[in-house]
Amino acid sequence: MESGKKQSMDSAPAGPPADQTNFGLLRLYFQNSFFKYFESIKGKKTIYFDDGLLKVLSFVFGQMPQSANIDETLPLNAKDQLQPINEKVIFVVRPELDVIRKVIFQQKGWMTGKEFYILYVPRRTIECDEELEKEKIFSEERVSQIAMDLIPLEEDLLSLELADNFSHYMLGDDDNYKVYVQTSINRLETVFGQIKFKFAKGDDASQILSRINQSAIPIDSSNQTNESEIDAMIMLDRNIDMVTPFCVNQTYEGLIDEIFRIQSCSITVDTSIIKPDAQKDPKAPPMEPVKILTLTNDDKIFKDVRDKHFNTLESTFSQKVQQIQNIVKEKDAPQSIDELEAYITKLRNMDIAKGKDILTHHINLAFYINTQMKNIDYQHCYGLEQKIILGEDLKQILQTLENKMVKQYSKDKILRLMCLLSVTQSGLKADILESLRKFYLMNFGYLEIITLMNLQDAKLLRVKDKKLDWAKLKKTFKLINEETRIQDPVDISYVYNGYSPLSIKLIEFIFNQGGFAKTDDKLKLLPGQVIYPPNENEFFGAKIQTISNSDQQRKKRVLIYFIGGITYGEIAAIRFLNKLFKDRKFIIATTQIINGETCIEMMRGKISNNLNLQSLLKK
Amino acid sequence: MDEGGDYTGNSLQTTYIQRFYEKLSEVFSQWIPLEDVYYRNIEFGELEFGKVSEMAKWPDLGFFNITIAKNGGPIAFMLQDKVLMIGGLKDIKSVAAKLKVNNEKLKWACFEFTQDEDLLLITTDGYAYLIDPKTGEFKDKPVLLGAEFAMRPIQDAKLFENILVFRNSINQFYWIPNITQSMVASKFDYIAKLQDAQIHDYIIIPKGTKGASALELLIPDPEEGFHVIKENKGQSMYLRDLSQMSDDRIPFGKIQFMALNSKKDLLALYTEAETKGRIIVMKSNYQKEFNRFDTRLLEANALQWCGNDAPVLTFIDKIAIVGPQQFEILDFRTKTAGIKVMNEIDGLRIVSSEKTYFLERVQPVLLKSFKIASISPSAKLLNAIKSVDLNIPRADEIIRELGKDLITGIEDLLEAATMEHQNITVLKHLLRTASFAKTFVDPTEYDSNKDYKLALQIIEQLNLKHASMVYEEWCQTMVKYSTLQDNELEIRLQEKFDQLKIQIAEEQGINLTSLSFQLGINAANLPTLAMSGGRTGSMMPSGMTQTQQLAHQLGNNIKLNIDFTKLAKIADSRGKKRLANFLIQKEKSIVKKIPFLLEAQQYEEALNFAMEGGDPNIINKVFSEILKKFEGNNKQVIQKAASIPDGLRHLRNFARARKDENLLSDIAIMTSSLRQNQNQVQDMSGVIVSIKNAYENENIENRLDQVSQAMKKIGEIYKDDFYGKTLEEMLVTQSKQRDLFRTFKDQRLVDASLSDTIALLIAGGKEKEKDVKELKNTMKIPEKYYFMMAIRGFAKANNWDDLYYFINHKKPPVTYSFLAELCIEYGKVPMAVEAIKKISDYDEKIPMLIDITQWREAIEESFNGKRMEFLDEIRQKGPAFVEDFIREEMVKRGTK
Repeated sequence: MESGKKQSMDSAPAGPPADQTNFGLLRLYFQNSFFKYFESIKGKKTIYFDDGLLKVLSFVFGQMPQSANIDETLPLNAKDQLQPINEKVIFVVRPELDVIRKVIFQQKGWMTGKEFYILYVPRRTIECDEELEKEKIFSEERVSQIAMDLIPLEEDLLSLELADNFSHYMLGDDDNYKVYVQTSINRLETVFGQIKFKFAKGDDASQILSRINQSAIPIDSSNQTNESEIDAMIMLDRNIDMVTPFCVNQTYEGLIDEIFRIQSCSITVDTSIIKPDAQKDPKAPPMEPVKILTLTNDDKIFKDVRDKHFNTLESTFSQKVQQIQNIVKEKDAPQSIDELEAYITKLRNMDIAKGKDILTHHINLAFYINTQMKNIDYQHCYGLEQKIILGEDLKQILQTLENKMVKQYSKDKILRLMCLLSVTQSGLKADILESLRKFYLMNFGYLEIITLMNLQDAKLLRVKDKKLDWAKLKKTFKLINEETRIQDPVDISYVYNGYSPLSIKLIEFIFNQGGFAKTDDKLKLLPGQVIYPPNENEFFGAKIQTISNSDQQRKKRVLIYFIGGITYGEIAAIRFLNKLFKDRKFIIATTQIINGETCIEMMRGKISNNLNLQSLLKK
Repeated sequence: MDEGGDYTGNSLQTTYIQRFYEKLSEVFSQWIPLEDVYYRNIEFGELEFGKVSEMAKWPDLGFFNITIAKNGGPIAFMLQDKVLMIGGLKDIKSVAAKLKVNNEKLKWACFEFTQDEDLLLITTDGYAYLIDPKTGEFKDKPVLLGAEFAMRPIQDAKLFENILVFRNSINQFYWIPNITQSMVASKFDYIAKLQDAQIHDYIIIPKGTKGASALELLIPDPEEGFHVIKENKGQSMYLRDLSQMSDDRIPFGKIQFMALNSKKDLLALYTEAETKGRIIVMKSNYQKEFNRFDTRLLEANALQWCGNDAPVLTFIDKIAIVGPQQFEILDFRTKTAGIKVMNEIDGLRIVSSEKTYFLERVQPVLLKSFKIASISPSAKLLNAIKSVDLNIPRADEIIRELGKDLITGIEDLLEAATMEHQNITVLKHLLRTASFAKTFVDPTEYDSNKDYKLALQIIEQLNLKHASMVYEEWCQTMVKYSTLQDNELEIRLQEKFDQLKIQIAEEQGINLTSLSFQLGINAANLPTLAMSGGRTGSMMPSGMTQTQQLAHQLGNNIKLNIDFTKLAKIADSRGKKRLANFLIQKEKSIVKKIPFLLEAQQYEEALNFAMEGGDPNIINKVFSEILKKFEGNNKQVIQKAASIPDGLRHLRNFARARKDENLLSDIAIMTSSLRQNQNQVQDMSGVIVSIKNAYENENIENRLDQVSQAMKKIGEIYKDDFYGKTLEEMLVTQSKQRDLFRTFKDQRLVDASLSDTIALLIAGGKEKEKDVKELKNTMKIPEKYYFMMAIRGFAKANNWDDLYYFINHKKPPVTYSFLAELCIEYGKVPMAVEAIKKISDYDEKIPMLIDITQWREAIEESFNGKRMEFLDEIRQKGPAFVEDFIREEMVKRGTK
């Protein structure tokens, strides 16, 4: 017990462990860039934040310092024109025409005499300039940009946090993300040294990699002492595995994301969920209706449980409760003055009160998630997911889907299952597809036609073809483990209750077989081109010789870059790979973090229905 | 600096200018005339011997064995079988301590650099070692060339590029064709006559050189002439003279040394070393003797070529450049004697204990500019500026006289500048003169600060960039003023770019020798040299294709630091469209390139480049410019986009972001015609934008209009039946909803789903039954779906009797599980149980009962269906009393 206590409850060690790359630098850099920019505009200012940036910026900023002298922040919307109180007004926006139109809309409502600035993140574009020019509100000297790209969400997780990237990737309707990915890699190489081995699987990944290779300065062999902090990078297209995003992963973090949508490491929760008892106490002061919870490794409890299977949480949490109780109990044991003093110091260091608070939050969150999962429709849908993965009786699957449709149970969940079905079956027979879509529209309204069209364009819902042989993939990559262990997992299949995510299984295969060349036959089963350096053996062949020596020789760091998004399940699975390959350290980069439902939401896009009821009455 | 008084200032300046011109004239006076050509010996620096503990500050190099890697690579020194130091000018280091071989008595027979600039050492007993000059340590393990050398030790070995030739104590010669591939040696035919001969020299003529069909080894005979041993057996020759091959019958005499020039087409012999010091130059295929000259320079230490131009004899403290009838002596009076020379492609590298030099032939363009009394335009221009500097009013006259030659003069000056890398004063002066001359061509060109700035920059960054600046200056002038045809000028410019690229590559330390070897280019024909680079051009027209090849192989990653866009703009402004196009293609920066192309109205090229770069920001800019240009003529724009792979997708994205319905449907029309040919996939983005636009309308009639247009579009362009029909249904539903809203004023009906509409109507009672039926018929809703929606309407309207009717129905139009689920949703558990019980599939039925905690029924059904495995689940999920139920059920069944 004593040792266990030490392990999990001790205060944080100073600085990042030696085996980590200090990606925190990036965040500091971006933070500084913003603050410097704000400071450069003298006087009181109002800032409009583009909602697509709001979450990620609050993550990057931490807290807004007083010196920035921001006196007012306003949301950037297209509905109400707001009146800024200060003379200087800054728009912090993404370079998208829709967003710029909002800027123009807001600007038009102002009283005169405002100074107007635009800050683009991550870059300024010609088309946005032109849009402003059309309205005659463009002023060269008041336009700036901050090239914010990969945000270090964790020491091993970097994300571009591009809103809607999944749909842009699937529909190919906006290639800006390719430029952002490329520049982000350039930045990584500038800061952390040139990555010697670069791999790509998938058409986008290959295109980006060849552009990087084209513009790269040849590696100067005499300069090899200048060691890079990242040894290799594997870029993967999302579409090598379109099955996993539509599955529900069973990790704690994954389920929190499913239910609360984690955005840049934080969730917004009804206070009643995390403090259910507080409301019952009439004497308690009134609470704020919602609370923002930050979910990072700084929260030691979360760090311990984030990647664990949800069903194993109960025991972990009860252990933690026990630990706290033990410490509290110590207080009552007879003690000398010295012991008491030591005890108080210990208490202070551990911040028991805070720890207990956080633990309570997590227990209540888990309880809430559990209740959600007990919902009969939820269970039916989850059961359906497993049946689809295993390829069971189609008729029953369709019947359940229809039942859920007419009950109008979560259109996102239904579309997610339809996509999963279509992807695993390599499309659906024309008549089945037609009747499913038809009934879907009857129940969820004709405006959903846009979502269906987008899903069709993205080939997520399509007529049957022979592009993908799911049964063969399952067999080749050994994706199903019927005896998966959720308590002390031995493979990545625990993440999805027995299904190993294909994308990560592929990485595992590549490392097991010693390189891309040796995995060629398997890579061919998945869509998209492959690029790997001819000397990949130098990377895959190099093993750390002895374990005793491992102190001096650091692990080989591998950056896995997902283009088109990654799920929390896949993140947990990659983290598990660190246990399977002890001489490697895997780092994850992605364009954004997704789950099945956010994918569907992105494919739906934004539609504004401006119908005026009065117009219905006019003949 | 003190301004001084008027009287001193003026005279000071004069003296300064005079001194400058005196110094400048030294440039020419230092050139070494040899008959009609000139050579110059450029000093490069000194080797810091003092830094190496084993050596004196100025060692007597006569005692050392010295080897030099080609193309300005490292140099190594050996004293009494001990390798002492390796390095280049800046980083020479002692390696003596590092190289410890077990056998202390080791004697080295070979001491040569390979093409990869590793030092190859071979012991007399046949072990070959490679030393990495960067670390000074042995690479890999030694390779044994053959066991026989223990008995008959290797005497010496020479490396000719990658061909290693060596001989043993009885003068049996061996060769290894490519040491980078294998170290297996073959024997040459043995010439018994040579068994005990003293051999001073031998050389290799590689296969493929000037007609040599096989590798040839040339060995001087101890008495006279030389032996040619070919790689193929039994074809050896003994040549006393050229009578076997031509009419020349005059014997060579006793040969001391032989040497091949860089191109390997000329062979020089040094014969009768004790009496005549004769130099014979002949074709390397022995077909013709060119020259024979008795220099009376006796007992030389070595014979080498200076590039391709002249044989050079080396003595202990001097060298002699030998021309057809004359020779010129270069004295190196150093504190200690000993000189080592190395043939390079266009010159000769010379190492003495004090300095290193590069001896080269003066390029014609430099010669005609600086030669005294030269009347070439460039020389005249130099005179003109001199007269300006010295306040003699002759400049105008000179320029006037030059007339059209003015441009040639400027070109030559700049061309000379690209060749002058060593003497910054000369370089500056050339540029200044060119810039001065240009003001006469085009007065707007005059920028009094320009040459000054340029010179300053050059001095500040004496590195890669100055080369680029000089080249750019040259290119600019050529583009502006050259009278050459565009296509010829293109070739000249390309040559310069290639030269510059190679030069920069060398300065970046890319090993060109090994690169050219991989390419299969004969290294001797490499157009440039490492230490100074760029000394090429008119002398070697045959080498150009190899320059191109090499430049090509170097790829796109070497930045030339030349502003191609600027050059292209100049070309364009002078009406040289083709040249502008050629130049802009070289521009790597898309940000520079695109605006140029757009300005020049080269839309397709702009689009091409933008697509190549892949940045939507730039692609969209190009599209918007093209659209402006064609004033909304979408077809033209679409055709341009369609001509480039992926172009239509980018155009579609452009239109989509701007919600441009017209452009989108035009693209769709285009795509659908392409689709039939090219298997292109149609996407629905055009329709999607239309529908989105329709919903943004405040007015329902406008919306319906737009939807019906979208529907038409789908029928005509997309030919998608499903969506065509669906949009039709959408129209029907929305019109119906509009009408219903007008009648009932029920807001819930607006934009409700069909299912909700039906449910609402059903809830509205009998009066709305007609509307439901009408909807069902016009929409052709399938029976099953209709009933599912309608029954849901009953549930919503709390009409459980009607719903119960279906549960009791023997063959209801919907499944029992659907009915059960509805009942569960609305909390009608007993009714749900009734429905569930009617489900035939136990796998579906029992879990449903478990879900709604109907334990007794679940147990009963488990027994009914003999599905005992469910009992475990029931025990697990249910309360403790389920055991009682199970027991009861068992008893019940047991009694039966």
